[in-house]
Amino acid sequence: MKKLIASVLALTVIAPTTVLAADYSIVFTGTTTGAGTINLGNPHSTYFTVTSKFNQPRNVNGTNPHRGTDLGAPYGESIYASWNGWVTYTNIGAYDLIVYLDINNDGLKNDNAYIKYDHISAIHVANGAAITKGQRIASTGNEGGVYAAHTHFGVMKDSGADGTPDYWVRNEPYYRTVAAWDYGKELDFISYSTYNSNTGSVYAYAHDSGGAETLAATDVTFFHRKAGTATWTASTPTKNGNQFTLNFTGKYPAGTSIHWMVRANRPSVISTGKPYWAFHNPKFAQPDYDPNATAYAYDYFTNTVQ
Amino acid sequence: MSRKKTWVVLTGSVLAAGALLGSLGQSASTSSYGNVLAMASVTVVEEGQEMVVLTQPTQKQLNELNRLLAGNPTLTEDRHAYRKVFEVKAKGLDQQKNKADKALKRHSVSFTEELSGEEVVLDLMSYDTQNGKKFAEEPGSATPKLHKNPQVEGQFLFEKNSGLYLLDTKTMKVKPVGDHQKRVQLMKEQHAATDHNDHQHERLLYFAAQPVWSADGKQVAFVSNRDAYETDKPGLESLYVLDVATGVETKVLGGGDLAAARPFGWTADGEILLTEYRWINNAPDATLVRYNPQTKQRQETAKGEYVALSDDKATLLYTTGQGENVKLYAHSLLTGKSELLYKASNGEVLRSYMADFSADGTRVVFDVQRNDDAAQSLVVYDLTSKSEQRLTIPAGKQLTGQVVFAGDQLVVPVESLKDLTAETLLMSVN
Repeated sequence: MKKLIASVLALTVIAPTTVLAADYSIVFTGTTTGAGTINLGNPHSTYFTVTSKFNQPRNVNGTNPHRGTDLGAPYGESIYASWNGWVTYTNIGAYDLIVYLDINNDGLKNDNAYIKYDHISAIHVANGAAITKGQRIASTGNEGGVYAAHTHFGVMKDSGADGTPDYWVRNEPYYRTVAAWDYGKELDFISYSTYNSNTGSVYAYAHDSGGAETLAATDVTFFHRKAGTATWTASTPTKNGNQFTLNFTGKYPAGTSIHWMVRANRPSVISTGKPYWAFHNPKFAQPDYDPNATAYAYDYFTNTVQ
Repeated sequence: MSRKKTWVVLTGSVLAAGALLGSLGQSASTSSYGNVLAMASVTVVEEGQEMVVLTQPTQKQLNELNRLLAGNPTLTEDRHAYRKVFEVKAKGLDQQKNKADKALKRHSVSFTEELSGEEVVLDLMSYDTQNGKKFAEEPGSATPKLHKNPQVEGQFLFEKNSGLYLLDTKTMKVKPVGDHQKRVQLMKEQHAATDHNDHQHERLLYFAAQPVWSADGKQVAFVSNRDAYETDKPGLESLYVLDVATGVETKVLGGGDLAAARPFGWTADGEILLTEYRWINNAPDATLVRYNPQTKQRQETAKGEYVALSDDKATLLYTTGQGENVKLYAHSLLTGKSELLYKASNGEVLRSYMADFSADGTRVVFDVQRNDDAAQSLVVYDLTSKSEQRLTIPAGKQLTGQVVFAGDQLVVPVESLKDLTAETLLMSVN
């Protein structure tokens, strides 16, 4: 174990540094109301290929994990409401549309969950209108041709409860039933985080229009610490396919409450020879590679070692 | 009707439905507004003398699967995990309105996708009809949408990783069609480009997308941005035609101010029916066009966006305007004349923008919805008498797919997002 920790520490020492300064703007947050209790509908009439996953590192102004998921839908494709709700924002000049989800279908705007669509070429519903699942609300676009047409979409949360969604949340919990999207795993860079029998587990891989990009075990790092302490310990997980696991048995005494989170590199997208990265649960626009190098608090899971 | 549809059918009215059921001696629906075809929404996989539908999972079943996977994510590595909560059922409906359960058989067809090198498996289901054994993709599976060749029995076209493939259910073989060597080369270059300053967010390559069979089953129209995706206007999409026998792909429309050319059908004499999107004052401008790839003759049909095409390819539906200003027209490809069918007003708008023609092409059905309370209705418009019939969706239910004609009935899939149930109704219209 000492060798493992030493090797992880060594990895950390030689780990890539940001090209641009870290940006601690909070743009992601935990899964919002209703996750796991509803299965949102397909925004299109077919399951288009995912061309960029939620929280997937990109070479855009630094690592800048993707805010939302992109679907490779050509120009003019109809976009359908994924659930009942209301149109709360339309701006065709900005190619944007936002709808408020009535997750429990009680007719009340109190579920604090939104879906934002971007790059659209047309809006077919009025701002304020009540909409239903399956209603055509917009069409895909290409912003004057400067992008290839695609649908950028994702679930959002309103931190200030002021009617303006500002945080992106994971999509996988809402699309776990879609076999065509690998049961939701194709939508999020890091997904299906679970903790069972002292073992933390995530699935992680990248995806673009050409298919999946697998990660090596050394591309994924589990950070963990005893609750109430400040310093994170880095560990390399065990890889099995696209699943990465770390068993905390023996790392902490039984009964210890621990925090844990995961960082994953995308080795195919690099700058100055170094890959870009993302954290899970995601939080910052551009997180620092080393959580011990900053005072900013990352989001993490809390579990008890048995 | 060449594409599959998931439908819910509505009766003309509750009273009309009740009277109809009484006259037919059929069992009443649990919801008392129609004759129930299935206790789930359905996908229509065969039309004509005998309609065949396959059931789709309900929200309740999906929630069960969601909870199952959340507790045990390794189940997601079984591509058939959905079968743990959902079993597809098939129903047949003949011209005498007799319903019957149909036996289903599962099939798997695998092939190696050249770009990724991975084995891709298609999950299919077969069922017997009066015209022999038929195939369809298994509902709930990851199988791509299959486009049935209108002339060659058992031949289907589908997309995978932006390439086109042919499935032959007689041999259970899949083969790539078109210039896959170029596709793989361009896609690999695209992957490599992600190492640099570009990223796939902008440089998406649609090598071959939105395929539409010609009426004779020998050609396929599709869109591609292969010539533009590395330029400063990577979003420009052109129209191509694939000769299926030779695999030769020919660009037939593109360039200039054409943002996209989206095909939706072919006439019997080889004209492609498409929507052209052009950039006029920075706003997309849609025009319906007939284009003959042989003579290169281009004829504008109407200004607007495509909605539906009659089975005989004689009439198409299109819209102008958007939202509360939308209008729905029928356009005769024989006379060139357009007729207004619907105009949004009083807070009511078109809902799904899906519509269906009756088999004889004289009636169309489409759905509308109120902006304030989301109340839904079906409109059946008679193109001969120029009259419409309104069918209200019962309170607590909502459409969960496209409504289609089945003879003189409508197949209407509805669901409740409160109790998470679904059913498909058979409803008659006057």
